[in-house]
Amino acid sequence: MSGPAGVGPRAPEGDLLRWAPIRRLVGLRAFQFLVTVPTAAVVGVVLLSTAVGIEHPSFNFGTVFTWVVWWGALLLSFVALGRAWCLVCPLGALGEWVQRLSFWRRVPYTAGYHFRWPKPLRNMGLATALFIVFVWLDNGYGMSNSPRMTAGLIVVIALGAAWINLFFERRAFCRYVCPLTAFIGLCSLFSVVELRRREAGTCRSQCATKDCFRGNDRQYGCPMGEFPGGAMDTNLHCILCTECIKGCPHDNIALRLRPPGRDLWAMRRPQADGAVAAAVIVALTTVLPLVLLLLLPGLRRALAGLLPAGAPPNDFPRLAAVGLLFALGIGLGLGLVWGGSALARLSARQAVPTAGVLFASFAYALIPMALFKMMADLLDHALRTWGALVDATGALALDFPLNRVVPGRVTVMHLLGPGTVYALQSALVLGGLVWSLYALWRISERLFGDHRAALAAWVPMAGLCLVLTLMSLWTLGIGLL
Amino acid sequence: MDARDRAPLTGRRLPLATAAALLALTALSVAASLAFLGRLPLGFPQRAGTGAVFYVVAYHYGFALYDRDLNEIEKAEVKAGEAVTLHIVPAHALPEAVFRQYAERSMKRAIGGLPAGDPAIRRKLQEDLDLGNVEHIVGIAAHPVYLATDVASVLRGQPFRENGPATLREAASQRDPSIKSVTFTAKKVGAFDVLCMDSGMDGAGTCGWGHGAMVAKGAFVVRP
Amino acid sequence: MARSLGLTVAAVAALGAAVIWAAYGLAGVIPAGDNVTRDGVRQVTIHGHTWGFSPNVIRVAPGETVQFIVRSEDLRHGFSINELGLNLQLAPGRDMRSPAVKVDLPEGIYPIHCSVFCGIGHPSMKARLVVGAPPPAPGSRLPWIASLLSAAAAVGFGAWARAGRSARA
Repeated sequence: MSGPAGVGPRAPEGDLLRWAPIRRLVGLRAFQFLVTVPTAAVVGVVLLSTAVGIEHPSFNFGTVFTWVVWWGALLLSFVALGRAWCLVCPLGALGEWVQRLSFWRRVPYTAGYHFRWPKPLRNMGLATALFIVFVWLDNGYGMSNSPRMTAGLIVVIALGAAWINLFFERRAFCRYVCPLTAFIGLCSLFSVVELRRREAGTCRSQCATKDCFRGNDRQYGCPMGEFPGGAMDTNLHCILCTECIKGCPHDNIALRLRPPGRDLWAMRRPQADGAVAAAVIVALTTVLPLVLLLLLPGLRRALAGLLPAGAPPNDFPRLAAVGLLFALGIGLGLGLVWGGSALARLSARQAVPTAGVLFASFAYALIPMALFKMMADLLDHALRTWGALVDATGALALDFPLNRVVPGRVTVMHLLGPGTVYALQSALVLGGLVWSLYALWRISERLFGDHRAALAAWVPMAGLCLVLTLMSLWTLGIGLL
Repeated sequence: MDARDRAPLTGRRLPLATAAALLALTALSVAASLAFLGRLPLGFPQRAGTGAVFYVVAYHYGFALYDRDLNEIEKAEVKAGEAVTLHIVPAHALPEAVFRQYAERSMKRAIGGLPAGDPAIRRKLQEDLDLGNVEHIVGIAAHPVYLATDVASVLRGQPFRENGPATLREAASQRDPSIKSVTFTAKKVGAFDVLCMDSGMDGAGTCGWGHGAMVAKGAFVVRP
Repeated sequence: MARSLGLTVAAVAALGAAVIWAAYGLAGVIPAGDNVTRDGVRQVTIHGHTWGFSPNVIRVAPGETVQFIVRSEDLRHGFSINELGLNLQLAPGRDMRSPAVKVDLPEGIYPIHCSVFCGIGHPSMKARLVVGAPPPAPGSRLPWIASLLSAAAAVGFGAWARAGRSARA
């Protein structure tokens, strides 16, 4: 075995495609369409419910389902199946159907222009910026508080996917624009499933056509522009559409089980744009909540003297305050990760790798902390809001699918006491910490040949993880103090 | 891979299909923009005025029901499958004297632990007015009726309305802006409560102390 | 290595202390204003905002009858006390009133929470209903225990790594 850690010829065990039922299922041309249809039906009901249904976030099926059930399932799906949401997402699929003029068949014509995505935007910058906007809309405008805004979000994403995929090649929207793509892609690095080539030599020396990337007359090329036969070594952009599995003339693609989080330290070429996105996500989940809790009331009061007041949620002093604190929180988070990387380099006492390279590698390792913190946040809300879901589903059943009916008052009942909930949340946060510590150690070992240097570089980053963990634990625990 | 190998096999573009897609997406985008700006009504409205018509006056803390000719009735009765139009009239949109007449009806019921006729009911009511708890959200159980009044916009900061319609009949005939309407099809057979709903939507709120008692039990009857 | 460790420990201690100090500041009691009592019912006025309640500690005597008047200053929030069966849906800028509630609960500290998802700080949007004069809640020690466990995890992992263990072995 040779090459960077974790990369090289892989044993066949753990390859789900060795199991005939799975191989037959993913081999179906209509596989992705079949798994997308149920999601499309649900999203259709959610869209109707949020667009015309009862305008109350606790009674409206769409808002309760989206921000509790879908969001929770999304977080769990990252661990189990990587970008499984993207596989079944009807919004991205809509763009693809428009482009291909086909739901699942491989057809020799298209409606799309297939322009290449502009080179300056071929990174995660736009997606990261839109993710920040998405989170700001939620916290500033209360998007998850409003059925109509939730409907607007769905419509904007659906139309955006259709427009962009009509003009640009492949799934350009899903890869470069979708507000969730950076978040989903980075969290998928934690997944226990990966899709990779089996034998590198087969792709290098035996395959001249690169069907997995370019497609052929039976299958489309990778819609995300990845090259499973070559450069693809992480789950970052793989939406598990299985086109490459179907299209590979050498049957050289495997769908493997693996230890969770392997991508975090096994990336051969960690990119800076992904690292910045990772640091931003960590900042949004750990640093920003504390910053907002501490500073929002005071800053809002200060700005109330300078900006015209408006009716909530169009309260301009508050919107401006949230925006400024977003900048502060994200800046602080980026600064902490950069500072940790710089300190790591100083501690290692080696000229290379530079602080920039360390930042680009280490930032990915912090993803488990963000993911598990989000799960902890949602756990508390889900345990309290299950009653609202029952009530909202009942209301939907009474007036399906328009959801204009209210059955009565909303049931809100804790399933567990606050102490027990906090204990579970702490367990999740600690789980994220341990994974991040492990990922950082693997990266450090890979980057520094010397054990002492690797340990010296690891220590400041471990300290950073501890600080971020304390932020999460104490923010969650305010209600207990 | 060199540049030639990077190009995906996309197939032949069909200009007609592209044009159709562009047209459809443009239409959808325009429709979505109009809907967002409130210029495109959503909600599948039915033609108002066909079928049964009722007026519901919402006051602190009860309801008074009227048929289409503004005769007061005890229950609104319709047939299953019939289109129903409800016009919700907040009593607060009428002159103070009319409002007080309706409010006196609350003295005839036990509310909030106070016996019928207890003068404390009047005090609580006045307190709610002083606190600005003037809106109602009228709903009918198991029906798509969930209408918030907007009394504040006609009161314009005054405790009672000035220069508005003098009577319910005048308000109805003038289609006063304070009247909120909904048309729906009565499907389920039974007797359903008309009530003031819990909520916090869009600035509307509960009407205060007696909100919990603001229920007309079984007042909406759907016959087979 | 020693310098790296020293700097890291100092930074973690300083930042950790700042975080804990901030958390206690946020959890600090925001005193209630003057409450009005009408006909034997004490009216408690509370303001909700992203993301907290003011006051955040409401003290009642066992068996006392109270009415909560809650106003949201920004988004739609909820004001929920499970044990009293209360769940007010709050409107921005509007007073929402609960019915008069007799607090027939044993002495203790009961959570008040926002019941409508309102953003990133929603899990922290909590307050406390204190009935009678209960002893300090044991739950207040949990963040300290969790913090010590996380520090132990980091130190333990470091010791494992220092012992020459390669993660690839």
